Amino acid sequence: MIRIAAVGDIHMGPDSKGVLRPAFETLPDCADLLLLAGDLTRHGTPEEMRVVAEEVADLRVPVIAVLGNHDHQDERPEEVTAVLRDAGVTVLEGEGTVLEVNGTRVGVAGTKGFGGGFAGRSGGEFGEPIMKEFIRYTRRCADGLRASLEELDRRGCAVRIALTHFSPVPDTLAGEPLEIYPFLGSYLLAEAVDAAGADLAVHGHAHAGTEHGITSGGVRVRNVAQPVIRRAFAVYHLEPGAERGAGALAEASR
Amino acid sequence: MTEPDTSRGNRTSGADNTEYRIAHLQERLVREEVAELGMRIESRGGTVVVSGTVPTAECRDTVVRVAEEEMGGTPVRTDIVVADPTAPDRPEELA
Repeated sequence: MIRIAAVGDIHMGPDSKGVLRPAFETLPDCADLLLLAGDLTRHGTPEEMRVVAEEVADLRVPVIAVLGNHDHQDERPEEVTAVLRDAGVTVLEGEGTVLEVNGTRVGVAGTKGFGGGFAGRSGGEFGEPIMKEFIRYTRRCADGLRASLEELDRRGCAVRIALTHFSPVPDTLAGEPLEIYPFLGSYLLAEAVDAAGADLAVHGHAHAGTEHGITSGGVRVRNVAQPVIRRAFAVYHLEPGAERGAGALAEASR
Repeated sequence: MTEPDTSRGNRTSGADNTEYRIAHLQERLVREEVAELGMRIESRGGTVVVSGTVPTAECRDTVVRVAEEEMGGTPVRTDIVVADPTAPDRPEELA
């Protein structure tokens, strides 16, 4: 069994120094890895990210993160990424990482993702250049997610997890105003997860949403934004070999 | 025929309109120190209700202060929760 701890949207700043550390120090007893689903800071400054880095440094479980939109606010994503990496955190954007948990290869593919909306109610690559770029950017994120999940499969991962900040499904947005759904996620992310297959998709971003959702290909989705899970982190237990998604269905029919 | 245009003077200016004030408050919470996108701000009767979850008590104080400043004389009611930093007491089994 693989034990996955996850939280997003911790929005740390100088006044939150040390707030999550006591809970994070319990991680080696209850989890094999910690996923951070973006929006770790408020304004994306290196100073704020240093607070985050201190919270997760030397935890004795691997820590894997994606950035969120807040972590881009100061327009220094490389710098804040470097702050996390210096603290031993693996930061993913359109790439994957593999860890060994009690002899099982666990892969995490990550991208921040972006908005655009959900199937049948989404923006398209049409019209003004800025509108086309909006959707193309989301598509690039989704393509990166798909390619990295496929790569994790080739690398023999028995468990694969998709980690994003924006949501792949509308299910986990329930509670948010419908009008802002296109700014909260995109079906392109879910399509990527379903095409490549995964055991679990974890995201944040939607503070007023709900924890549980599922893609149309059957991959479980969890919104781990801290205001949603109402704890320092959530823990999910996964048995290897129960993978969902169209990728898995295709595999089974071969 | 020239009637004096009096309608402009009778219009509610943007600054006095609760709907626009709510929009401006939302923008200010994002732009200023708390960078808070997650607040729900709604007009209820003669009041404005601000609700949501923030990471610290300091953030809550800032949101309350900015809301009261931005809404002028309109009474502001708040229901703002500080995120719980405790470890979970149980996992979810994904069978």
